[in-house]
Amino acid sequence: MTIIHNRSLDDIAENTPTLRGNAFTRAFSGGSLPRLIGMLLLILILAFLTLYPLGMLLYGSLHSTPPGMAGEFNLNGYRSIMTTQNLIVLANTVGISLAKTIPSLVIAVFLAWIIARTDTPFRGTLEVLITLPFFIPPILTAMAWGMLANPQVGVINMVWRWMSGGTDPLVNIYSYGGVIWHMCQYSIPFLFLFMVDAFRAMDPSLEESSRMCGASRWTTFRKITLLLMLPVLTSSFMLSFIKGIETFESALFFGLPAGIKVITTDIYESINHRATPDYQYATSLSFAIMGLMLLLVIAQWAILRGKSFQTVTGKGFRPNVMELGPWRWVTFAFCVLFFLLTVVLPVGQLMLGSFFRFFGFYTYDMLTLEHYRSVFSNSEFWRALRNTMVLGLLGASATMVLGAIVAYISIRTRWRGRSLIDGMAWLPWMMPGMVLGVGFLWAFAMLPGPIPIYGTIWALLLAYIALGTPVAVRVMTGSYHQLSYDLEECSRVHGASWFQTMWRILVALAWPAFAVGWVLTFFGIMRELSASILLYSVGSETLAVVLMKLWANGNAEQVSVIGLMMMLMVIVFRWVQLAFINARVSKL
Amino acid sequence: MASVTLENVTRMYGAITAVDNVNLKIKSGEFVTLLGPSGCGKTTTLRMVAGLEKNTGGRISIGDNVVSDSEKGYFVPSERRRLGMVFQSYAIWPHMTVFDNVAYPLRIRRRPDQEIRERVMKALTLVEMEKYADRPSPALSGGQQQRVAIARALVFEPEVLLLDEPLSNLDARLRTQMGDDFRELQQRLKITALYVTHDQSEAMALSDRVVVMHGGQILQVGAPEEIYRRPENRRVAAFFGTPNLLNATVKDCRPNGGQYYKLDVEGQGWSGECHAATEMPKGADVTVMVRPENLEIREAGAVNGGLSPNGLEWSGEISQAIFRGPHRSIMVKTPAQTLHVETPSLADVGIGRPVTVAAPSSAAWAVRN
Amino acid sequence: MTTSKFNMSAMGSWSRRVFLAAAGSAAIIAAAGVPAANAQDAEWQKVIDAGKKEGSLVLYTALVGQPSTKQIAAAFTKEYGINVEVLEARASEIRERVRVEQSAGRFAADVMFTSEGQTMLYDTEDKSVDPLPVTPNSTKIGDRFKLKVPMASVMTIPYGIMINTGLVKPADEPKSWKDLADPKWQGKILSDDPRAIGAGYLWFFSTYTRIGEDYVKKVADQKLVFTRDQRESQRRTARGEYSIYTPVIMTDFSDLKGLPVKFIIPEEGVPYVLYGNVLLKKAPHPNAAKLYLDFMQGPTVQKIYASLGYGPVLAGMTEGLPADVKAISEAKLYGTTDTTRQNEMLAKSKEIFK
Repeated sequence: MTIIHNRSLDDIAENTPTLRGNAFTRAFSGGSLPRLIGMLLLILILAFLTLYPLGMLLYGSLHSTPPGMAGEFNLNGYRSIMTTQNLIVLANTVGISLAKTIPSLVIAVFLAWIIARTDTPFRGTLEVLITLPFFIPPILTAMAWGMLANPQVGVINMVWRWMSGGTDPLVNIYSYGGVIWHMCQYSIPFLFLFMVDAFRAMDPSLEESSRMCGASRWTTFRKITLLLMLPVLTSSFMLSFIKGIETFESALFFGLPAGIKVITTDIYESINHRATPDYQYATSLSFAIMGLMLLLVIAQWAILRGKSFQTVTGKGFRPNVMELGPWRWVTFAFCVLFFLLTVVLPVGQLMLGSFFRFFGFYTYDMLTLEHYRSVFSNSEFWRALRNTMVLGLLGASATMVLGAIVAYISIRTRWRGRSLIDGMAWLPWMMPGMVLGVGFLWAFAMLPGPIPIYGTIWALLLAYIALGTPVAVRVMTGSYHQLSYDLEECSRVHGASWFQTMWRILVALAWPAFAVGWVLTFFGIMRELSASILLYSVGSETLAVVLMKLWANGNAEQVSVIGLMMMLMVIVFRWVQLAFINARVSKL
Repeated sequence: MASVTLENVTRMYGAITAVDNVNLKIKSGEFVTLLGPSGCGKTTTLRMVAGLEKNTGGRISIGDNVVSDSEKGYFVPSERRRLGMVFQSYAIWPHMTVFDNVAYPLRIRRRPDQEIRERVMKALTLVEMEKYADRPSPALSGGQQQRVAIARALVFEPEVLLLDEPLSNLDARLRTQMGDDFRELQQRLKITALYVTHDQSEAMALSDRVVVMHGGQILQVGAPEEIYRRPENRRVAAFFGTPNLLNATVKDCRPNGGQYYKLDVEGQGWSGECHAATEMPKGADVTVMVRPENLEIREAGAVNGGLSPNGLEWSGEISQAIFRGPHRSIMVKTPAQTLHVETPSLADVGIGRPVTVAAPSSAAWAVRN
Repeated sequence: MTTSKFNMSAMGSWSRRVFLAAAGSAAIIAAAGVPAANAQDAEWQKVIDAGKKEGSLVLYTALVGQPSTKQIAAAFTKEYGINVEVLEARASEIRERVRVEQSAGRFAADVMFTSEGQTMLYDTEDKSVDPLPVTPNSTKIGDRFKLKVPMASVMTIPYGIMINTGLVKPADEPKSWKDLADPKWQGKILSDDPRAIGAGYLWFFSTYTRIGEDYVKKVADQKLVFTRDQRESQRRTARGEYSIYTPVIMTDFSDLKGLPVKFIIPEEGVPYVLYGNVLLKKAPHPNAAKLYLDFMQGPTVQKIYASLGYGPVLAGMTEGLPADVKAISEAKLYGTTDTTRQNEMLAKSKEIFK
């Protein structure tokens, strides 16, 4: 499927992957030895970051005791997960994840299209605003929604009763719907961020030509826009779906009271709520899920195989937006509605609550700035913030560089082993966070003594890089899929080496994706708790650890103060990033 | 500027041979075009010269230096071949301004800023784009982008300039104009240029020599006129324009005094004299090529009206006429086959009118089937 | 410290063994009944000196987020000049860290502050703790807090019932655990999940063993709504989602002052979790660790905990406290869980609370 420019038939034949690689990279043979060494190095790095901790977990799943204890190898773990009960829970989990992923994807695609391809008013501002919920710790939005939509005294239901005069609640957050809604709060902005630049980078003539062929706007959207976005769409679907299977905050918070069970609450329980943490059970269950999800990844490879999705060609284009006429106010209204529902309601609740002694008790005498004062005078908070900023800056940058390289090799070369590294980079995503955290603990603690990783800030950094790599690779993959080969070949012919080309052309062109990936990874690091709590050492607390402590001590209001500050940071980051991009784009 | 030599160059994709044992020498300052239909291996050949593709057999040299020798496993990567290249898509980097795009090859080579400035402006002036230096590159029209791509390819004075269908994305008028401009530039700067196209008129207008390729092999190499008038085989003949190709049998063959031979041939319901490059035995089946513009329509029965005595003649009736502006395409149905004739568009035609079609023997060229 | 307070008979065989190991010849002298006091004092002084020389202490704690941890560490530093570094994580996480660290030969931590149940696991499964040393204060604590497991008890966390005063009229207030079975509360009780280790399970264990299965089944018929977040559930009840939240950590009452809630000490008493310190194997600062264990059982720390409502293990610590705190701190202890029966009882809980 070469949808780009009418490359002649021989080029298409040559482009068929079974026959040829990107010729350019075949030509990357200033000696294939450096390439071999580079590739080996990359495989080693990834193996250490992903295979090694997973190997420890695999050992845990096959051994009667966790690493470091006497025991025997057996299959009891796998045997014990084979229960009807687990099958039902699994079906339930998959169902919930699908039920949240599909609508999220639809809404996110629609939003991305509105923001990137139409002349909807204030779309620049909206782009930053509608993604905000993603950056707030889930526990906070869960709390906010608990306050808004509980069936007894939830604000929404109170208003509804007052308006309708009835006694029945309108919504109940403690239900399947509630679990899914809360998950959507995270997946929609995530998917949106993931896709919006792909939409923006598309040459409008590809769509226009379809319109000229007589296809309606809707057919064009379906047959051209969506198909061209296939790598990004399938990637984001899988990221979101797999995350949906692994998330457990929503299920724990809103599902448990309604008797809804998902697979991760089971894993969580087997580690945290049993007399002795049953790591064999937890790891076996995780690997079983991982096996299922690997099938998905293979399915994606099969779908994308042999197709070209290059939408950024060397021919310049004016990134025209579609003029919607009066309809632009409808799309605007949609964005505003989304913003109100997913941002204003919960975040407003948090913001309001942070100025009162207790959430939900908004009387004059409860008004206070105490929470802000407590947070700002908390030396532990500042230390944790400093640690987290350092880890975040280093970690996000390193992760994105690694992700960019892995994505490059897997998408734009035919090197031997490229599928291997692509696959390895997927692995951390398929392991539930709390289990993976244990894997890192085992892996780093069991390193031979002289390797000073465990108990240092490096352990956290390495874990963060491993955790962030899947998203980094996916973001960059989507972006690379879009760039035509000419752009880099041209650079090579005109004298630039592989690295110069990589940096000056590919990274520069993929910069919007790189930046979005960076922000996603950075805030992923800020939020990461499962591994942090197992790897931090005295004095190297991270923000997530401090938040957990505050939460455990019942200081929900202080947690929201910090949550709001994180959100403020996001706004600044995104604004800088978008302003920078806009400055370039506006010259067009 | 340097010459380019291809010796037994072959490119295999698995079991498929894309380029088959190509031998070609491009002289310094020469403009050579690789011409052929889609899938003929022309682009692959160009990319092998560029180093974007590795030849699986044979040897490529630029100037006196071997850049790729498959037997010895020797391969110089693209960036060290000192080439300039214009891509079909132009490959203008959308994140850079016009100036930055053109300056790229120089910046990569770490030239001083002053020199970069001068050379870029010089290159841009050459393509009349100096006014647009600070424009973001996506904001250019197709023709402008093409000029930028040429400027970028020329800016550091490459050994050889490679062009991969650079005009195919332009509209017809611009294509002609850009082509002429480029030819003028090439001759002025004495650039060695290897040019790939599937457009025959482009190839003829621009090139010193044309290389016609098919199925990965070179069919014929020669000056445009040579190839147009005296193709070596039916394929090459058919590739240019829409010539009338008539099956005939050789009645007699004799040298023409020069390098060609004169043949007497006979087809279905016609006979006459034509030329050929080689001696053909009597009774051999040949294809006679007569280009539409060399045919003439006369009143029916007007035998041999003053043409060379051995001219060719067919009688038939007009079956179709298409007005094309400068000329008129007329189809004449004859017992042998329908002939395509181009006449001045002023002449009047009547569909169904019986006519005689004639051509001088100098315009008929026979190739062996 | 006098000889009379040094009660050898109160020590189990385990602590005698330790003592012999730790105090060496001094113990033999003590057992012989010769001037043991002075020998003891001298030995302890040596520990103090050595501890000060070590200069720092690494404390792991499973009690997450408590401001008291910092307060106590500061008091300890003030007393001995020994710096305390604290690492907090939830029970299962910190236990796994200790286990892995030790099996990898990284002995980073000195003392672990954790619960009685966890201590048993540390001791019997992970074998990651050292026997308890005898320290001057260890002999003074209440007898019921002198344990078989090697944990130096520090305080109890009491659990009770919380009601929303806006929804429950004073006359209707539940007074005892038994009152929770009253059908009028059907659908109005928010409960910590008894099917997983935690407060709910503690309630289940103590009432099941003391009141009986019928009672628990009756409560199960009340259509309890389960949660696992103690603090958030308190807030939810305060906001009026439910009339009752149970079992609630009684010491949280001070955090919720000003909200329409009331913390009730049930008539039967409060189920509790006993917290204390264990000495981790190959502690890098063994003497500082001993000092810390002792310090936690001394009046300074005991008073801090009592003032927060926790049950001290040392008598006479609640003097002069405000009445509400005093009542909670002195609340009758009802029962705690037995780690050896955990799997069996969890299964039973899951069966009853489907």
